[in-house]
Amino acid sequence: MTRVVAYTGPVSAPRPDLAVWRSPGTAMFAPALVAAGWLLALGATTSDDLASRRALLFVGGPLLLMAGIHGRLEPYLHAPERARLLPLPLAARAHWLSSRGYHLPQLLGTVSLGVAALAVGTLWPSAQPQWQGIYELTALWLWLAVFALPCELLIAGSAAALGRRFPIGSLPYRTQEKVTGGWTSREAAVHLYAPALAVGVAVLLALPGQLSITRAFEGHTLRAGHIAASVTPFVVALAMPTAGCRLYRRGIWEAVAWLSEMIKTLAGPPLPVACPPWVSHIPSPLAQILILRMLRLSPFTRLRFVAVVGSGLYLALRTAGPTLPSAVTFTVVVMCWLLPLRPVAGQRGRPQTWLATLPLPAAQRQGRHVWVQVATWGPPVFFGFVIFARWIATR
Amino acid sequence: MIAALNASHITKAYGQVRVLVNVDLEINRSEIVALMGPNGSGKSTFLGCITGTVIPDSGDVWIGQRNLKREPVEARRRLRYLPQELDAPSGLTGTEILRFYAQVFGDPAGQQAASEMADLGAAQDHLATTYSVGMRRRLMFAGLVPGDAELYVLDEPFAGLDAESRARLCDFLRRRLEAGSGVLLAAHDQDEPELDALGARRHRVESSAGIAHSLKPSD
Repeated sequence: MTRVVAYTGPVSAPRPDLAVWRSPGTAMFAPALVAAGWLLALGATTSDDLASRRALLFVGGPLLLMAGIHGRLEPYLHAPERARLLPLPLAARAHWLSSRGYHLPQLLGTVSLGVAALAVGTLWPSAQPQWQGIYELTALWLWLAVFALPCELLIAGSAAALGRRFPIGSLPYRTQEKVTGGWTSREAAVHLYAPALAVGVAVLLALPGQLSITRAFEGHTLRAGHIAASVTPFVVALAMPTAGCRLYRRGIWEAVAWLSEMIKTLAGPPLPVACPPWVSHIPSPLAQILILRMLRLSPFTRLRFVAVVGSGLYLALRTAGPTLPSAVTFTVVVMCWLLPLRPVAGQRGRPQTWLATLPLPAAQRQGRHVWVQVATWGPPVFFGFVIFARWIATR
Repeated sequence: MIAALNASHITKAYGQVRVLVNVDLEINRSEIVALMGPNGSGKSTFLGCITGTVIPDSGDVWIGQRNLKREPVEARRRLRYLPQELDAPSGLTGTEILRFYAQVFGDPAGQQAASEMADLGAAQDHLATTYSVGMRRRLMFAGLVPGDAELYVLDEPFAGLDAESRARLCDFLRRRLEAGSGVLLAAHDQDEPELDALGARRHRVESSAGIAHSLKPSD
């Protein structure tokens, strides 16, 4: 039988400032999309239909949390930077704090997106604002968000602790074996379930409190049983961050290595998607390279471009003037276009010796090409200006 | 005949630290010059000034007949540079990077020769960010191949290379020297066999305080 002794890791002073290596906002892409969909769904209900909106909240809230959870939790174990920092003599707590420094703002951003979607989606179809409904929906959403944080921290720690190799035949080993489902290695199996589990536990813990909130808004009195059922999960949640940190400290030294190995194995040969033929017809070699990188390094690039141009055209040309929800929707579409391009733009700013010594005009030697910039910024700026001008004109 | 490189009165300071003081260097056609010295002595800074990646406080650099400052594009057309460390641009394969170099240097047909120089096999169509250090070096050597340059500048080109790759690089440089190009490289003592084979003129920078003396051929 193989016995694996857990490595407790080196002890040194924590370095929470390691959080700076990540650019904020990357994990907000999917939540922004889901929040926009949530807003539109809420706006499609009739103004006095609070029951439907509650139902949309109970479905949309967990979905919104789920949308960005992988991005929010990525720095704990998945990020390549974590593997690069692992050989350094940093305490596990430093890794935890630096990851949490990225995680918390992202979660806060997601919660804010939810609040904005609820407020706009509820106000939009109403001639007279249903403030009571907005307060109730916001309270229900925030109550869920309060539980999301400790649950995500606990799950991040648990994923580290369970993402290790256990002695053959032991209960964790057999459990890992059962749940892989042929998708991944045993050590990485926990990552298939962790995000959904975090949201599921948060929903479960928040539910009694949410029912109590609804009851209170409907004018019923809350009895001691209601309050106890609401507060007890809260007490449980208070212990979760500490437990999460302890589990993380136990597992990080092995889990990160196993995860890196699994990612490489799953990825297969590093063959990129083929270069589209039209790219090679672009006269400028640098523009070819920049566009190819945009296509490969950001998801659904062509679809996002069509979305921003299409929605801009629709809002600019339709007979009715722009409304607040349509402006919000356009802004979200623009964010969906621009935010994923940040990794491509981010690399441009580095000292690019490979371009600096090439026979190219000065701007191109810094990785900038005028037509690529026009294609990137042109549609948002042009349509944004047209929509704003129409909005001013219709006031 | 016009020299491949003429650098005159190059001075560069980082804050209070003067790394290059009034440095002159002339490299004739078919001549190879090796800068040798301890780490931090300013070799890479000097190469940076020659290639335009570091802006000197004063001084002039001519690549052939072109002034690097006044004719930045034309001067660079006559220059090939291999930096010491290079992160491959993400999202691109080795083939695409070599095609880019071939297009930029106006020699699309040179991509084939560059591919042969890289000799990466099937990996050439993989993302370059997944290459090992040695493979990445070979890819970047291959980037030197397209077109004819008057000056080749290489920063510690033999570091981290296996014997076969060293031989291939030496063979390439020898052919370029025969064609009339000049070569400037930074090297260390362990590179002596390759430098002997290429007939390199050495300039030893002994002071760790930086290059502060003339590097004229008569030295």
